[in-house]
Amino acid sequence: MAARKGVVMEIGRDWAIVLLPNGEYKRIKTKQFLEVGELYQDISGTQFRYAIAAVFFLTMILTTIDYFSVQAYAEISSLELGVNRWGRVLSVQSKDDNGQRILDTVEMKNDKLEVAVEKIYNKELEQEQSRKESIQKPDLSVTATNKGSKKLEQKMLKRMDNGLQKALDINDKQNVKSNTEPKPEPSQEKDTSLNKSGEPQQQGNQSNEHKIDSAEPALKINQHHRIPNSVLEVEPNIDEPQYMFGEKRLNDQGKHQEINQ
Amino acid sequence: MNSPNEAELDNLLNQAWKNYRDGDKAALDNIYEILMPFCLRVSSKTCGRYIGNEEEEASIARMAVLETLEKFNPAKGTFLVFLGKVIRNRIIDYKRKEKRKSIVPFSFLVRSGTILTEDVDDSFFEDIIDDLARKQEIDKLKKLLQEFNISFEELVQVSPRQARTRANAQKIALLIAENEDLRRYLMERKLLPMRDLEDKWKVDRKVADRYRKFIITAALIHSNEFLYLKSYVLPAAGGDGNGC
Repeated sequence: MAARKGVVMEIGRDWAIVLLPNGEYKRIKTKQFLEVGELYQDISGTQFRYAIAAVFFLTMILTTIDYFSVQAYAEISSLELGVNRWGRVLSVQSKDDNGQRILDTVEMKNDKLEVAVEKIYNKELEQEQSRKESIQKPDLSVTATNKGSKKLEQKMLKRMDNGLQKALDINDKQNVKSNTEPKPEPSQEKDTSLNKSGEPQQQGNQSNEHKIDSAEPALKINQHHRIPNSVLEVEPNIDEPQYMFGEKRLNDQGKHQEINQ
Repeated sequence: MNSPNEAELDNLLNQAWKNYRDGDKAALDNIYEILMPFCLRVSSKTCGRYIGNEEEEASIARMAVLETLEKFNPAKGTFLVFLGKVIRNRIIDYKRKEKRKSIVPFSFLVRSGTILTEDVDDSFFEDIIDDLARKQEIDKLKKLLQEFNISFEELVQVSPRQARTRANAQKIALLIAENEDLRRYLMERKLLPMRDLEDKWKVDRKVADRYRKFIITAALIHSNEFLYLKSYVLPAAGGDGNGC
């Protein structure tokens, strides 16, 4: 069906009604000068349209693939963010517990890099303030997966910096607000932390563990017992909580009822 | 494409030309009505836009008719093709003169540039003759359809999209056109002979009813012997039975 020639039946300003060889009447839009009775070759027929549709879908698919390909890894303190060429966060990895904690609380997938950095830094500030520590500016670095693209690295670094700046600005405003209220302590505390500036990071970790202890004791116990469970079936009596756990497992139906009563 | 009409037309024109040459100037009046649509169509095609009867190009075409009557030689081809060539040349001459004389809008140059400089052979004019013959059929069909309250615009809306359905509908149309009774019913009542089609010919009522206007048009094309249009409404292979 390469050459479809129809007869022009009626014409208007920029349209024509054509009787196609297969007997179909079709209204076409055309700038071509046509007159009634003329043969009309349908060049912009289905093939052309399919071609356009194919190109469209191909671009869509390629763009989607491109979107989900990590072009660079951006590092902020202990987090590593995989970003695509448009600076959207695709993957997040943490290098230590501190990073993991931020990761657990902050959702930044598909966020713009600057937004993600802002969120992370805000969280860090929050934590550090609650720990009553000095605020450090985190280290920023970007490594492109393609080594040649220094431009991308610089671009991403700039965006990260923007995000950081934004977070700082917001924080400053909040501080100004809180400073207007009577609150004399922070300056002193800052001093003490500065005195111990040799290892502020460690202290932070310790205090954080304590926090988890007090906040979620159940989790702590679970972590203890999940592994020895299999051992318990053989030898249930090791210590008090484990024994109870083991009993529950052995005849859980009856015990459960007892507990319920 | 050689239709019987074309040979007839040729004879008529040749005869008129002979009469004109022998001194019967009124012979032109007889063929004027036939020539004018052709003249305008050639002018339009040459200029790439619609040329009305009152425009400069139309009067150039009229002058060209006189010139053709003087210069025509039957041994060198058909009258209309010769006339077409003369008209085209005169209009191109006119355009060139215009171009030299005045500033022509840029858009005009672009549009006419391709058409004017394009060399054409006889088929260009033969195609126009065919186009005009087709136009005559279409005009007749349009008039007929008005009696049935059908417009081409409507046909676009109701023409069956699926090839199989279309083939079935076209079969029904052919059936009506070839059957004396059915055809008469259609022409007199301006309606499809639904009951007959259903009872005697086992036609699917749904197809016949839904594509009523499409079927009527095709039946009219068949029964009125529209030579050019007929090939467009012949049922293609693929339908089944009597449109069941």
